[in-house]
Amino acid sequence: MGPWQYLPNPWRQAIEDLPRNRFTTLEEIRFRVGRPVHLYGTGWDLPLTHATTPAMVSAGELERVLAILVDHSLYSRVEEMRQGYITLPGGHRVGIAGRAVLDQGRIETVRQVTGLNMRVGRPVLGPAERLLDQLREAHVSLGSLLLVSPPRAGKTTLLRDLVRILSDQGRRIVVVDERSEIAGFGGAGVSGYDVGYHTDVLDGWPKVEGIEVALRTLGPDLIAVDELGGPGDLDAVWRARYSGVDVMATAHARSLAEVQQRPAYRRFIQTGGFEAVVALTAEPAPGTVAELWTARGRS
Amino acid sequence: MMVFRVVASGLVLFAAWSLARRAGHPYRERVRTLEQWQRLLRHLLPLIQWKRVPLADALEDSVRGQDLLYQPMRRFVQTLSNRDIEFQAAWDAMLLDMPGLWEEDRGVLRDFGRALGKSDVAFQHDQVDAAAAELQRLSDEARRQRAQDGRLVPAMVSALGVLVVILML
Repeated sequence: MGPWQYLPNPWRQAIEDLPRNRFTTLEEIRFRVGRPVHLYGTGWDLPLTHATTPAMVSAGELERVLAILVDHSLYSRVEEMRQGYITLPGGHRVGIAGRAVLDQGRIETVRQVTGLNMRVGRPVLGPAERLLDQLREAHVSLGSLLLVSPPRAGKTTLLRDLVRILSDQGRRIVVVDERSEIAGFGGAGVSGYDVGYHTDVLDGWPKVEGIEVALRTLGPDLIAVDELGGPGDLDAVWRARYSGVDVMATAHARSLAEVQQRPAYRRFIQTGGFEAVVALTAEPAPGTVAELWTARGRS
Repeated sequence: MMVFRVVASGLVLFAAWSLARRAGHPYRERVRTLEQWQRLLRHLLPLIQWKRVPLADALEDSVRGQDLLYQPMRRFVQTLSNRDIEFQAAWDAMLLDMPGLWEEDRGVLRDFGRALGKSDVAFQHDQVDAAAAELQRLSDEARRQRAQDGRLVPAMVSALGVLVVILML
């Protein structure tokens, strides 16, 4: 179910009426106050023009859209909004632009919302097969792995596919899915994506707490987490590695060199925290392996 | 002739009794409806505050076992699943669907609907507390009116019926 299904009309209908080639490659739907809704797809972008949609998005309309996206229950999504997004069933992330409300230096919520960025999450089966082949060719045992790339280069998609394949091969995997993007929480405890037969999902758990709980109670062979970067994330991954559990993770970085420039990551990689680091690029297609670093060297 | 008068008197007395009951009904119904709304708010608060249950589910849970609110609230919750319906319009329609409420009760609940689900937990708590206090005030007033007008009007209607019977006989 695409994220546009959660929009009210006329937006929903306008997006469903897009030409097929646009509809199938749609990546982002952006609402900004005082501007038309703008669509971004693979290699294209254009304003949403439809007989039924207003030329500009008003603040009131945006507020209404947000209320509908959170099922008229803002109080149940405040923790997500503090981090600047909400996740829709199916793992579609909606970024929220607006004024931060601070309480003693901590973000309480976002008000006066000025923009929404709906990212279309799609299950892509298969890209991990190519990576696994490359790792086999490089004689890397598939243990701990870090996937790095800039946004929209396919990190999460690749991680999800790796989890699915390894899980179906019999590895017990726990996905700590802080933002519900890996498994695509579908409500009522159902995952939106196929993440494999032997996978448990800790949905909405912060990474540090989720990794602790996974180690203590769920007995995993491998833990998968998305977007390392918060304070304590790498320490939590270390604890998992010390416990003999492999970790597959993603992080934002443009290249391997950029990862190596970060002291914490450099130490982590040098001491064997990850057996391989894979840098991805969005060209020619998201999920393309640009660089592969292994303990044996770079390829 | 006498038999006819006795039968007619009986009918008049029955009609007067029915009318008297009907005249007292809005007073009794209002008290019961407001009491059920108060119970609903008591159930709703922990579902919002502790469990963070989405509003539609929280309202459906809170309204269980409350005969006067159950059907209108269920219809409201079903309406909400249609993403094209305005929340406030659906809420107002639900209030109109509850015959036990009086216009001033609807005003308080309409205001409550405007704030429901639109803020974080702390503010929702304040809103529920404020609505509960208003409902308590309305409920006290409704009980007073039931004790006064709710008895006076039926008594007057009954008395009128008895008077008619006396005149007939």
